[in-house]
Amino acid sequence: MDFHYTFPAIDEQVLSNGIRTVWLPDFRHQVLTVTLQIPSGRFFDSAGFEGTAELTAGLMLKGPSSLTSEEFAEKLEHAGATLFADVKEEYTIIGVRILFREADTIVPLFWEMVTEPSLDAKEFNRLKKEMLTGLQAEFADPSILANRHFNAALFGYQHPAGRNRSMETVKRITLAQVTEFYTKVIGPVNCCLVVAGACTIEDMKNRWEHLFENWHKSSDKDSKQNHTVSVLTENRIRIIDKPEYSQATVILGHQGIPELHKNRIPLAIANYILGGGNFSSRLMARIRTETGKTYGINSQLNSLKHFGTFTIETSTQTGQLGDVIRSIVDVYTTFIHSGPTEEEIKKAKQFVLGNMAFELEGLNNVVEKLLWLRFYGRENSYIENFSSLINPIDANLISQVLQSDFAFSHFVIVAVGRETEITAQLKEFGSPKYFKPRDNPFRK
Amino acid sequence: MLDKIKEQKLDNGLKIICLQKDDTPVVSVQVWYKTGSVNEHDGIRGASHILEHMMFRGSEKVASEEHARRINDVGGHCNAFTAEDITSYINSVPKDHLTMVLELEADRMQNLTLDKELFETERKVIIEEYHTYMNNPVAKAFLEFRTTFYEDHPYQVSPLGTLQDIQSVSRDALESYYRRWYTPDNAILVVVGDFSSPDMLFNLIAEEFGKINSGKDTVNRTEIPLKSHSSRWMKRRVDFDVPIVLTGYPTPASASEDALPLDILQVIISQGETSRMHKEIVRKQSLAVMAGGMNHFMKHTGMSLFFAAFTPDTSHKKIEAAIKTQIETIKKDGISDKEIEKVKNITLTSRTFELFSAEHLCQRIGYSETVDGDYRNWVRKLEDLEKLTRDQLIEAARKYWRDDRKHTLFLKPKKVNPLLFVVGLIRRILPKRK
Repeated sequence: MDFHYTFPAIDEQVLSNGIRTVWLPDFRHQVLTVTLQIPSGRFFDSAGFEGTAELTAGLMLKGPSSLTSEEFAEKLEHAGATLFADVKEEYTIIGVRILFREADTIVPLFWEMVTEPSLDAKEFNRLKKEMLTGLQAEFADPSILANRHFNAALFGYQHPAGRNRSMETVKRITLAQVTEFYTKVIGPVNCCLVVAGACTIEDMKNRWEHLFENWHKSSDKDSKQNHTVSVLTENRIRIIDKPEYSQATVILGHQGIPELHKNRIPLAIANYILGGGNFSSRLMARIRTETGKTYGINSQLNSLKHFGTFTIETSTQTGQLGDVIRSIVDVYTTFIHSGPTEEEIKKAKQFVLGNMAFELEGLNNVVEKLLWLRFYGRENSYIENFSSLINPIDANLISQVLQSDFAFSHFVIVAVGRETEITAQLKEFGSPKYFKPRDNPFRK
Repeated sequence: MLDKIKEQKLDNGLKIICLQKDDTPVVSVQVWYKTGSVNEHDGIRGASHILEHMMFRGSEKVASEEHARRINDVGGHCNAFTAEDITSYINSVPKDHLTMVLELEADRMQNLTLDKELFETERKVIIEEYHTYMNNPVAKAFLEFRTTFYEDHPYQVSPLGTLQDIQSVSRDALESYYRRWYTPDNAILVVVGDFSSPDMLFNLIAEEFGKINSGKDTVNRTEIPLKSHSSRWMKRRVDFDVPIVLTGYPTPASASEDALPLDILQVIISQGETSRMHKEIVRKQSLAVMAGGMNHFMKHTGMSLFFAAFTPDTSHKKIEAAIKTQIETIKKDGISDKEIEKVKNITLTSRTFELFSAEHLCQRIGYSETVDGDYRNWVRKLEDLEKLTRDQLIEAARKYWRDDRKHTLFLKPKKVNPLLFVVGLIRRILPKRK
């Protein structure tokens, strides 16, 4: 089967200050987006001060030093502009989306915000309060609680992925630390900037190249974190008590593989068949379709630059949890040992190739894809020749890869729900550690 | 854009609306049935939602779950949702699979199997979904608020239904509902994306859907406004650490000429950092951590909702008073030309970015056609915006955002986190020191 796509004609260059800039004309509609990817994210937070990267990005969005945050917001919102920021583990995305007619006003303002943010004390206090309130709300979300404890159990405190922002860590963060974070970590080198919209390449460069180039600042691009993940030698089980819930939410999983691993794509196909493929997946078939024990179940292969995770998540009535986990383990084990069928692989490949059209629909998706490619050092040909990566995959390859890179005999299992009912059901899997929702995941 | 949208009606009453969009080789095919919880009664509360689930559990030509699998297998995705007035089925696929989707939708429109055993299994799934929703303390409290708000109205029970009826509704009752409401004359078929021509599409659809009989009893209700709606205040203690106040006002139906003025006012009063609520309640007075609002218009009536989250050291009365002040100020002084211009720019920007997605456009057209009665309402919104006067805006606020019709819900945490309490106190002190 085939997938045909050619990226629109772009121009790409590394500016003198180190920013890789991609100019992407798109005249479908009279809009413009400017999106900056900074190669630093949550993993750059110092231990005990998780939330610093997010506070820094949030504070940058409050505007440049030449304006109050109210003045800045007025200018942007009056023009109909949308500012956005997304702090991931390894990078941060900051951008603006506007009508093209507002470009000459808003683009310089946006860039001033990036390069000379105000980092105002009053805004910092307000943002911090907002984040603390948001963290309070998270105690009511069983999925968030489960994921937090899963990461803590799998990675441990020494690994940046094991640590999440909390009330305690955010409360500790000072404006001085945020300012230091900005000063030391945010800078042009190794950034990727995509400028996309209703403008020719020449015109874009004439308008804005000098602006983007005029950001001179050193920055530290090494998080200096330990990314080693130790192999599980036994099941690690946690129960977080939520007695008022009639359902239990559970996450099972183990370590995965990094994005650039040679077997990433075959394993992605395998994941689709096991649990990523919605109603086409084995887990959905067993747990929802056949038995009705859940509204939804899915598995995810999440890969970062240095490591990854594999997780299966679902919710079910508390009394059924043991049965559901046994079924999940059964489906998983059978899959690892027997591998997928050729028919399953064929359908998975069809999905992956067919779905690419949606992943590339619209300006925002193309920009996102370009940034993703560049972060992992890939060129556009990776997508344009995607069929050649997918088509050779067959049952033999996947079976081999499952055995070599995915045959784990131990899990991290985290259950959120009524502890008194869950404990007995998880006994066969190991000895759990017990937590209340507000407990520090590393306290025990 | 209006001139690019084409429509046709089959003899059996099925209305087809289509829009060609060939920049990406995908197509979105959506069937919007003009039925939802508004057509339910005691004994079958939740039936529309249950039926939505069963629509994926097999028809004459399609085995259980096969619809979703076939869509996935070609790289597409499908979904469905049930609301008060509509039930919508969304399929987005690479363009070469348009015919397959039409075949699937036509088959399940007339030939749903409703297998007994599968029904019982799916009932369990829906009960799980019910519990997932009810385990969210804020969602659960809002459901109760909503029940009071829409008292004595067909909207009173939400599309989620009641646990009792979900557990007891019979397969035969579901089939009666299906036969009555899932008919071509009670549906809209919307297609947006890369297809060769409207005429080709209409012919294809006629081939698949043309033989389906129209319904016998699908006359939908005429507009049912809310009856006299007196002011109410509720407090609920919840397992949620953040205090929240919600205030709701009854609104007109979605198709009303007053809906647009209320939408504009909502942007000004509650959306973004330059909104009045944010500037006054969050920034200037430091009363709330966040404040916002939204309008939810439906076919017969709706709700203008305003909300604020705050720290436990703040009195809910102050929050309620602060929200009220913003509304009264608008009613008294109206809004500025600058604010109107801001709304125009925000609307134009978001509308323009929406044009990139076939599925999104399809949803907008489908929703507008079924709930407003005319898809042109959505398309014309920007033009109508230009014609609105400030007096019309003030008049809409005065007519609908009335204190004597307001419902308020105060969600008070069962436990107070001392850390959040302290944070709230500290942020009160700091600005004064400056």
